[in-house]
Amino acid sequence: MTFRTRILLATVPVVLVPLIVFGLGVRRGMRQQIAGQYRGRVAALVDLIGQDLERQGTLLATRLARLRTAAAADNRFRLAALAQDTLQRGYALDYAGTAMRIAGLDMLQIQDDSARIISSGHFRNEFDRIERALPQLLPTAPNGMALIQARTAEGPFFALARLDSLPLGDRLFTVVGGITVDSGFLARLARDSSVTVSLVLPHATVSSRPPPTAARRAEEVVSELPVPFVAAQPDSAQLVPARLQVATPLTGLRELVGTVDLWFVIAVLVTLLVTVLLAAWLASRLSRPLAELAGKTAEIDMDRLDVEFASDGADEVGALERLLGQMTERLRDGTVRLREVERRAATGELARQVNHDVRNGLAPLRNVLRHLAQVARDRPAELPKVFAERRQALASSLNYLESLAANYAKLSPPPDAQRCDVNTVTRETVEQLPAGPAELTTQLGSGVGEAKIDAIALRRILENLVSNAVEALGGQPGIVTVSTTRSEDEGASDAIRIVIEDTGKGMTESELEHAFQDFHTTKPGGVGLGLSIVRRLVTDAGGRLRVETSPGAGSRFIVEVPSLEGPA
Amino acid sequence: MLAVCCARAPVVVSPPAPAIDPCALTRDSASVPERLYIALSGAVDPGHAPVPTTEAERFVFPQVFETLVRLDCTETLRPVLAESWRGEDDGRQWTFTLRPGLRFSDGSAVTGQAVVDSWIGRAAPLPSGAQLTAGNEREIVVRLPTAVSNPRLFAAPAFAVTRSIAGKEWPAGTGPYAADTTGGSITVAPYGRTGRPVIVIRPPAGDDARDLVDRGIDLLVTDDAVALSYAADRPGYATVALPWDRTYILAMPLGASLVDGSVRAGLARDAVRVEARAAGTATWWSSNDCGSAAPPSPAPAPGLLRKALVYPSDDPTARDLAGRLVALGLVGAEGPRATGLGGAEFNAALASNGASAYVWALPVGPLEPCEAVRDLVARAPWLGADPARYLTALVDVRRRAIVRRGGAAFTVEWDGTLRVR
Repeated sequence: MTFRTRILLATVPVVLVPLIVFGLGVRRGMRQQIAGQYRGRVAALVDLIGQDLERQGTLLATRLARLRTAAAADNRFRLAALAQDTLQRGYALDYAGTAMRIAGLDMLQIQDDSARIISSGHFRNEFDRIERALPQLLPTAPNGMALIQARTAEGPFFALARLDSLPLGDRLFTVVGGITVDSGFLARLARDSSVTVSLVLPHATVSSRPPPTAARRAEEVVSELPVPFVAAQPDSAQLVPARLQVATPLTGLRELVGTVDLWFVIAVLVTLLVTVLLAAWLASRLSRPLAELAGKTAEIDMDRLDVEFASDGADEVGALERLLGQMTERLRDGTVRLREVERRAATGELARQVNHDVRNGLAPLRNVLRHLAQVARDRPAELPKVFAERRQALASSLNYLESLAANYAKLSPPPDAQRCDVNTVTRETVEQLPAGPAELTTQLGSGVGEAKIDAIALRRILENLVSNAVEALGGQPGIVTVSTTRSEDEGASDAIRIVIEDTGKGMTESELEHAFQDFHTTKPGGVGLGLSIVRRLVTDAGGRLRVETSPGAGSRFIVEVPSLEGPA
Repeated sequence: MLAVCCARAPVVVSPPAPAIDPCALTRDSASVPERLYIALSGAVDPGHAPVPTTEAERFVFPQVFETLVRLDCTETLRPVLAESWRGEDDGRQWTFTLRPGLRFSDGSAVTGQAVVDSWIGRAAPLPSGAQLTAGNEREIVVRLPTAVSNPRLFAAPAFAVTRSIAGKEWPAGTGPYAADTTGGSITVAPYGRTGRPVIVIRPPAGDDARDLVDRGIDLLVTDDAVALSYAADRPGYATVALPWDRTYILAMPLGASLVDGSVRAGLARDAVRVEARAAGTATWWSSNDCGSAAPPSPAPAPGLLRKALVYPSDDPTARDLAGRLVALGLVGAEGPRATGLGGAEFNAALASNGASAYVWALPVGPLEPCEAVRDLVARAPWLGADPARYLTALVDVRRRAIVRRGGAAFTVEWDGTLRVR
């Protein structure tokens, strides 16, 4: 995970979590506050409804008192009620209906002292039915008023009723009047269409509005007002508590919470967006110098210590860059010192080689001169003859030294391309090299011909590669094979291939990777310039050098030098 | 009743006209006014002619369209277009002889063939299997599938003689009046015969019939007790009882109710606010001699009305009766509730047997009981072959006519139909 991603991931929760906590807290507090307001509003409405019911009761009492007075004054009704005058019976049957309409009531029934209905306004043909519950229970209700279930031909209905007495002669009639309690009545009590007033009875419920769903009901603020109800059963009747239930939905709260939720979500999204952008910017600001620092650091190598780490930043990255600069500086100094050491070591080896080569060249001269001196001292006369005999040896040694000097001189500038017979140089070089316990063989191909390379350079190449191959056997018996052929690679048929192959320990990839680097050696006392020189000599001659090796399977050095004779 | 009507009958000819019309509504007519104001409910639609469907049509159509014979208030067959009739083949064939010189209101002659064409053209409800021929210029021969003692069937409005006139809303009739529709109002004016007033139909004013009396109405047919009482107190008016013309019945698909004689009397006395009497138990639908194969009784249709005692919502008497039956619990201990239905809904419920009980009115005595039974069963197929099993007669009702004294003279028919004399 990148440093930038980590910054992004860390920044988002750091910003959002407090915001969400804040939003939820505000939402909860607002909900409690508004719900409290709703509860207060419902409680006030319940009080108002209670006052309305009291006014209705008072109004009912007034109307019933007037009806009582009018009925007592009506002789036709009196005749029908007291004298059972059949001629006036129809008048009595219709009396309650007419009176009910005049008084603005919804139910009215007049009962005699045996509780028999003698006239019913809301159910004209219910006459003669015995109805004992209302005369018995209504007077006992609080404020003399209660809910009742009245009958009509079309079905029952609920009414808020009260009772008055009508004394006629020596009989006491009762007048029960009421107003319908239906959805319209409850809606008028509710006043506000958003408020639901329900009459909850043991066996039924009437509401000012269609009942809400269970889910909506759970979001209501509810308060109740007890109302007595005359529950009449076929064999008994009693006053039971009914309830006027006032419920107001938390619609406003729900809408407000919804709005808050919406804006909260928008705020979170905007914050998230801004946070991501800011975090990306910040991460970029932070990671760019680090990335640049990493890039510079990646450029550092033994050959590339000129990378500059210069920063005037006062922050940690600046300090880090300065530290890296100091470290690079120290590394650069160390490398210089190391190269100096290596150069010195290489010079020493070269001096030893030169010393060795010069000694090899001087030894015949010394022997010839010692022989000539001995002859001049002991047999002076033979000196010319002996000189003539040894003159060729002197010339050969001097030529050798001259060539040696010329070749050393060529270490720095590339030698001029010359021709040499590859097989001859190979044979001569291999014969002169010590093999130790190794079996050193040559497989010189016919028709190999001459190569476009200096013979000394080829000899140096072969000496180094064959010596390395012998040394790769580690003093153990093995085979070192030097073969020459015309190259068989496509496109390289104008080259001569020389292959030095051993059965030694081989090289790892790592060893192979460093094998051609200057001053890299795995041999005790080695200077690490052999293969480097070989590669340079081959390259200078316009040839190619390849290595095929694997640990434990030996190595195969393939030298391809340009053929002087063209394709075979 | 059918047993009486179907007894082996002698050949009958038209009876002589009585010296004093026993069916005259009033006997103190002094002068004939130029205009006769009649208050009747309902519209007059010439498309219904000559069979009335409203109170207004019930008065207007008989003035315009006549039948061969009529049945007066004493249920005596009287001649109208036919001057005589005779029965043959033990009452299976009847030959009517038209009065000479009869003409339709458009001037065309009324012949035997015109009568036949009129009946066939309107698909008059002849008994199934009846044969109808024009004997000669003035004769119509009707051969019935069953013998009848008298041809009272042909006094029904459906056997009025009419003649369609191209381009005219109203067909031509043979009565003393001709009707026309002009500018949306109905004109019923006399033609060809003098001494008759123009008839002006006035709809009832609001809900109070007394206002019509106060405006000088000549004839008002009503069952409003308050209006009747009011008119009775007015010296210029007389109230005359019309024949008992409707019987309210209770139909219960689950069987007859416990409505006995005392209950019927109580219903007639207290439950209804019109003039009523306890219905008799011998009703025209009790006969099972009609010989018609009734369809099987369908199962009760499920629906919201299964616990409802339904009645026509425009019939306050039916509503009163339904309410009283509910109050008495005679149609179920816990219901059903009384529910008023509009005409189409009521007929639909009746046809599908969709309610638990029904209250509505039927004619007290139809001209042809078997035809009436068939009509009834067609209306309520679930009554099946034995309607009496489900039907209970409750009360008979009648209306009264409020007639202005000294005004036009009216004659009342057996079914309460009024004619201007």
